[in-house]
Amino acid sequence: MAIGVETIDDAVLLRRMLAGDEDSFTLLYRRKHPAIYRFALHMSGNSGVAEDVTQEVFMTLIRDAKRFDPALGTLGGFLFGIARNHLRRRWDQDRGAVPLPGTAEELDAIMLSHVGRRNGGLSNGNGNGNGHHVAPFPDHSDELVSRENIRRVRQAIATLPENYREVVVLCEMDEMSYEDAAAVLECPIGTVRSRLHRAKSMLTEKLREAEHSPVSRKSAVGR
Amino acid sequence: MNRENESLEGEPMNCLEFRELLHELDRPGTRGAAQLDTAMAHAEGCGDCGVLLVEEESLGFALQKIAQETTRMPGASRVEAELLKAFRQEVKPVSLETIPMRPGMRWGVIALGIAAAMLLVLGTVIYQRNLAKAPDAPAVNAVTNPSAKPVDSQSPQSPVSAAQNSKANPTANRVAVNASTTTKPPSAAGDAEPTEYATAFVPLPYADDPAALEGGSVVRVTLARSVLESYGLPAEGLGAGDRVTADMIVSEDGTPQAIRLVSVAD
Repeated sequence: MAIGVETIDDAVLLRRMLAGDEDSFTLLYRRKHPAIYRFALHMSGNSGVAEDVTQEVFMTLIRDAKRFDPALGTLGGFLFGIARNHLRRRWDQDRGAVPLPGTAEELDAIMLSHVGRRNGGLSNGNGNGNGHHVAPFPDHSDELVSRENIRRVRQAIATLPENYREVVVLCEMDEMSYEDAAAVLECPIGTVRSRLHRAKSMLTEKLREAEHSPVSRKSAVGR
Repeated sequence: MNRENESLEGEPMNCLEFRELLHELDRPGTRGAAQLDTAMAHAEGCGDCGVLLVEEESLGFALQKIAQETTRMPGASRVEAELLKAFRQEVKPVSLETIPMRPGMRWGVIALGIAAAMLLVLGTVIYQRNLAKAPDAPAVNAVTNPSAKPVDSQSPQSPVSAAQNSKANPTANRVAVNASTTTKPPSAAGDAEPTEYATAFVPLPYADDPAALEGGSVVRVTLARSVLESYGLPAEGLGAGDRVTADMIVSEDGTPQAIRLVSVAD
């Protein structure tokens, strides 16, 4: 089963899963959960919430997989949609009560706790299995990248309004196409494009500000 | 600016265009990616846009790093174990054949079925029209005779019910062909009009749905012997060149559903 698992189509795995095949479900989970977790983590700013949401997403898949219609989008998009609904439900229930990182140190603690624990596993490295992103820019080595810059970017993402944050996570981190993101967010493709444009401009602006003045931050994550 | 600094359309890229495309230069399938070379050329010659490009690269790289760092879920194994437990409880093993190729495909199959049915009806109509064009095909006197409806109401039974009854008893249909009933002509004119004798309506072989007759029209046709036989009607005593007058019930989609023979007495 381990040979060529990357090549097995999601639809095939889903069909086998519906027939009761545990291995297929496990493969789907291992293939899809990293991206779902990352989305939930960046949207909630809390690893515990992100883990719960990820579990709920796959519980929904177990119980309601027949709801997935490939004509309406990818399985990944379907799962992101479920995750988004779970997150919104949580926000509605605990409006303002979701424990969010308020300082750079807290954010770093959450994010950096993941560094170095990545395994090769079944993920393609970014966890969404798409791998279509092509960076035209020269490849940077880790040494050249400022950890401080990454820390600032994390913080800037956390302070983005929800609508903008989700397009950044979906389109930039999960490398989703505009079309797939639009399906997840249930909005027109043009809206995704304009939100992403605006979100990246906001991020750039925030990074400029952070570079020129020491930060006294109050996270606005969670609306 | 040199020629490299021109966009795909041959126009040089300005700062406004550059800033609009800046955020999707590395996104395949977008206008930004399509104009990457032009944008890079513009950035080389424009200091402000060059700075923006560097900032964009830096942001993009940081986002990728963050994405990589947040891929691993700390409790992934525990969650997997709990999900598998739930999976065993919720999903009962069934044969793979009972699962559709793709969930949601059901609607596709239904749509395909409807399309096939429509094609079948269309094909039948075209076939019937081609038949009408043949030399020995029925000559249609009235394509849709509006005055035919009142005739039906004056008949001992309406065409629909007659056809339905006939369908219920096919043996009687054949007999009914010879048993004539008197009726007024479809034109339903005054007393000077000739008297007509008509058989009961006999459903045609492919008229599988009596309900399809609802809303249909009665059409007066003249049939050659060969056509009469093709409808399964007796043609004894008719010569090859003889023609017979008949009424046909045609459903809304133009398909002949039932037929009766008509004899006009002056």
